[in-house]
Amino acid sequence: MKMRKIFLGVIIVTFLFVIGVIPGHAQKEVTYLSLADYTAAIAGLNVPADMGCEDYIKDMNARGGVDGVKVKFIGVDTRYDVARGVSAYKRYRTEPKLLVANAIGTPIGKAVAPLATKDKIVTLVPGDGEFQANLGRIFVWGPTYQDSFAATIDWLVADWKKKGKTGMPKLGYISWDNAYGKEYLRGGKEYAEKMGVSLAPPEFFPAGSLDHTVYLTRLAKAEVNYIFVGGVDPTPTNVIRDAHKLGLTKTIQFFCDYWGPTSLGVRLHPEALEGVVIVSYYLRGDDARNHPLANLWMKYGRGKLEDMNEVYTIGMSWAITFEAALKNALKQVGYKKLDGEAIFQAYQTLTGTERAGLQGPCAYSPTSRRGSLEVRFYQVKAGKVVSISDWIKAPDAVSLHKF
Amino acid sequence: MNSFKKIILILSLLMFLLPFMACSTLFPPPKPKVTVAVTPEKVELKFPDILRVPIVFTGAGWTPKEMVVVDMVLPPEVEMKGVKPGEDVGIAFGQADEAGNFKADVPPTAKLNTIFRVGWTPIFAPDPKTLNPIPPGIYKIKASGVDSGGIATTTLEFVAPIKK
Repeated sequence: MKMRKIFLGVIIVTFLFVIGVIPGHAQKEVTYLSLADYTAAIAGLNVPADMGCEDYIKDMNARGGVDGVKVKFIGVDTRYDVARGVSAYKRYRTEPKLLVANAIGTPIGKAVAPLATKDKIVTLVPGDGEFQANLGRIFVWGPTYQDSFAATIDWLVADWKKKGKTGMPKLGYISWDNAYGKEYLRGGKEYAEKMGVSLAPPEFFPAGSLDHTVYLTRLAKAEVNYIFVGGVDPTPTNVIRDAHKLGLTKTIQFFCDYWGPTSLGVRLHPEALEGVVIVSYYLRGDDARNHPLANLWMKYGRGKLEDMNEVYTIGMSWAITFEAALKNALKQVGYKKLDGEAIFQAYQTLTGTERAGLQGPCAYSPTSRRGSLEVRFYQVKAGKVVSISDWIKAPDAVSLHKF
Repeated sequence: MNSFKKIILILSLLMFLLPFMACSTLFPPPKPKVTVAVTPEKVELKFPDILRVPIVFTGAGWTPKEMVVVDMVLPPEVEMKGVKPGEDVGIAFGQADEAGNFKADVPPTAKLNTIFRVGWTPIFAPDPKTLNPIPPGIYKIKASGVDSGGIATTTLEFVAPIKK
């Protein structure tokens, strides 16, 4: 009798131990990691973009997730600090079924890429053409930076001809003196040469510069007809504000890139920014606010619709892309075998996937890391950012450069 | 003791041990002996001078080519923007060479963000009005190998600016 009690006791203890060790039948979940900047230099754009991503994921989870699999959004504030970005990636790389790390900022993306590649997960980065030139597990959000520059060259050549001018125009370029600032010309410079557009010596200034007069004056002396301004807003706004003070905006057409002034920025300097043309791979201005998905902004208590920063739509686009990839991966391997390799394969099958028109159709494929191929041109008119073109396929400038 | 009792005892013992054997992965093999050191060991909290003072971590015994992440352990009373209570903060990283040696220096952004807890203006410039250096003291430094899981520790002392 005593032995039976001992035996029963051991069985109960063993059972409890096993129950404690084996993970329970928790809900099916995968992890999406954002290595973000919520409190430092690019927080102004990153915060609303991640709000869009998180809200879309919340909404998707509320609808039951992807075939019953919920997505856990983890946003880490790296403060645009590479050391913090790498440390955060190390901390979260063991999260259950971590499939994607979105590195907000080119330097963090480049630093984390070798680790994420070793872990076989997908990394998302802003616009670096290097990742299209050297195919790996790193995917760009939209067309590469150099492609958007090439599309702008096409636009300005057409504009030049439309104005009845002869010969070819001269283009100036001004941006931050860092990897991001120089990326546009790695292929963009070659495209300008190919199109016969003369490029004045580019002007690079240190991030944090308060005055850009010296650089702009040099470009004016080079007798440029157009100037392409880089930097994350409000930097481009400040550059054009300085150009306006110098009277340059009367004679030179200014352009901004993806991170140029949003509608909220335009409200602060409407006069200086009037007429500026913005090349964008995502919807801007009222195009963004009138989009049906913009209702998530209010549904999740982010404020009034007129205060919605357009980059909110970029975040939704990241989430929609992830949703589509997850769906494909689950179809291919099921939840149990779902891992980084499966999601990497799935991202490459997304060619042509629509994201409710928030940006062009997805261009990811076994030979493409571009998030889409199309850009759209917007212009500041009467203090508003308005569309002046339909979606236009950007030329491939990456292939013109030797990486 | 009859044979039935013996069988029951052996079975009980086996049932008790089996889960431990099955969970042997919970007890991984011993970590490699890794080291980390910092030069200088003492740093003056003087701005902007600190930006010109290289703070360099070196170490040995790491898995060749592995990434080594250097974190600073924050005492509970030290608050840091972007870092949750109880979390360490990354201040440097480097890759071990073929011989397992690594070198990593603290970049200016980490000095500004972490040692001086600075706020940033939207134009990528540190806002000097927000300089808020961490309290002087000895801080624990933890270097971890991403592949090996090896961990080495040292300390780094921050001292108040010396009046001259």
